[in-house]
Amino acid sequence: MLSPSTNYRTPEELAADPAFIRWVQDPTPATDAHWQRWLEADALRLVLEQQARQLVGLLQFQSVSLDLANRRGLEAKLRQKMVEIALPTVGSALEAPVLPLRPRTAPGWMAYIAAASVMAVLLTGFWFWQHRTIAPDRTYTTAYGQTQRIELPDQSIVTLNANSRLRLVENWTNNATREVWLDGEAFFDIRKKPGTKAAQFTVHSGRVHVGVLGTTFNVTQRRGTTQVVLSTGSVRLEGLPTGTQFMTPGDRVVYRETAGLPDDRRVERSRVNPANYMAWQQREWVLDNTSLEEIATMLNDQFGLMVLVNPPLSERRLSGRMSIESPDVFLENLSTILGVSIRRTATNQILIQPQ
Amino acid sequence: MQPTKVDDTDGQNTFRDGDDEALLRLYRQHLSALYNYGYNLARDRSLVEDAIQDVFLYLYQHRDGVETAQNVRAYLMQSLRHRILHLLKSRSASQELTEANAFLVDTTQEPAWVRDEADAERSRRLKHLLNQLPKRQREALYLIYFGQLSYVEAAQIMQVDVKSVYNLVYKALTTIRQTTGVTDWLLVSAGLGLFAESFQKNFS
Repeated sequence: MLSPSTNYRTPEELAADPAFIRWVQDPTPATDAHWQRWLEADALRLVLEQQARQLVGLLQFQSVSLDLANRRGLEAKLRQKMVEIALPTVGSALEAPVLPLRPRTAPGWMAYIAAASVMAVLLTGFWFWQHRTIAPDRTYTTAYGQTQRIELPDQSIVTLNANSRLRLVENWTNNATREVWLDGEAFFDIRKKPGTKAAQFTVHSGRVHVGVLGTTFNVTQRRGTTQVVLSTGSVRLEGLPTGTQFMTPGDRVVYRETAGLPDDRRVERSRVNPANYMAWQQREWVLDNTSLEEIATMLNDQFGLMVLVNPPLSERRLSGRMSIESPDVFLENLSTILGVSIRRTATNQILIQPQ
Repeated sequence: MQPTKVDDTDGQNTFRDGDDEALLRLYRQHLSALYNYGYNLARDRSLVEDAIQDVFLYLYQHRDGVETAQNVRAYLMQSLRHRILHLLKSRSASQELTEANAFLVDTTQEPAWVRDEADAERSRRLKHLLNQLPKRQREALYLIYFGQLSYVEAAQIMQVDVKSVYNLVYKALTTIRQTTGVTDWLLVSAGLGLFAESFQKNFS
């Protein structure tokens, strides 16, 4: 950090200073205070600052974003190639460098690299052509109202809740790492793989990656929000804007992908009774001061029901254990407990209104 | 060939031999920065995707020989740059076209200082001018201002010394400011006003 007495002779000097750039692009109370002191030391600095600020402001570049599907696809491709390389049948690793490992180049060295790179591309292509062992993806899907118990190749158990999808690449025997991709909700009971260093199990859920060794936990990924509730063991969450987080039993971490929310507000951490979040496996919901509005969303996720709540009722709240064996019975109970009218319209929507 | 070690700055993701997950973590962590840099360099998504994969596969294949610690992000970007330039050449992409399209400032966004139509017009004019600057100047600007890299990192990526990167940035900024003409005068007069004010304060 610069001392407040720093003198810049030109706006360019100021605009090229990384500390100034960060301040203009992303001010914090600390940098505000620093530069305020700098400005106050000499009235003419304001002119310098304005010109430099204009220059920095102009330097906006196009940013391209990768959506989740793309990201996953690319990573799966890379992983696939890594597996192919790691297979014991590989002869010698490709020796041709694709990257410069030395900063300065002697004359002729570039030509060597270029030729070698071409060779590398050819060899790689030929080698992959020879070793086409493409492991098939395996996807499990559940319909509305349905749950499914899945035994993974390592004997870990996944219970997939309704309206959810679990995908895995089926070559866990060659690969020390185990990973699955989840949309929806699932409970994981992961067996510890003995003896292997890299035996981490990873659940990719939205932008959040849950890394575990052996543990039980629940992951929900719906409507751009990922929730992880840990029951036993420990897990490591990656991909959060606030950095990697470790969870202990009873921790609940929620991550919202909502645009426009500051990073630190997207991640919410609390202590809960994990059993309440896993009750769906016994076909029950444990409601805890849950609003009708939230219940409507849950019914939509679980059963695909379109539930419309009359606005004055949307903030009515409910606590307790309720069976979700059948959506009709659930709605009937809801109607009795809250004293509201629930009916199905001709277009198969559920209307919840005051009686 | 000198061996190279890739070691993450936060110390959490150390990439060692056999630790596939660590490499993939490195991949996830830097994908966005690499993808953006690559795209701004080549304007070809599939080429960039191939090049990124090549970079990580190369690291994966040479995980046993990697030794000297460096800045990971800069190393990855340097490698990607090298790979992309090579792929562009081998696909005999038009060099002029690639150069003209690389590292363009985004003319659809408006800087925060734009207050009225006159400001907006000025911003458009200056951005247009920025996009006419030599490609190396634009690349240095991209790395420092968009990539938020240090001059040392930018120098490593561009394979020049730190002073050269600074000069590229400085030169670009000077070119832009010299054409700001009118506003310069406004600012200067504002500055004189301030000067007069401080003069009065101090001497009256």
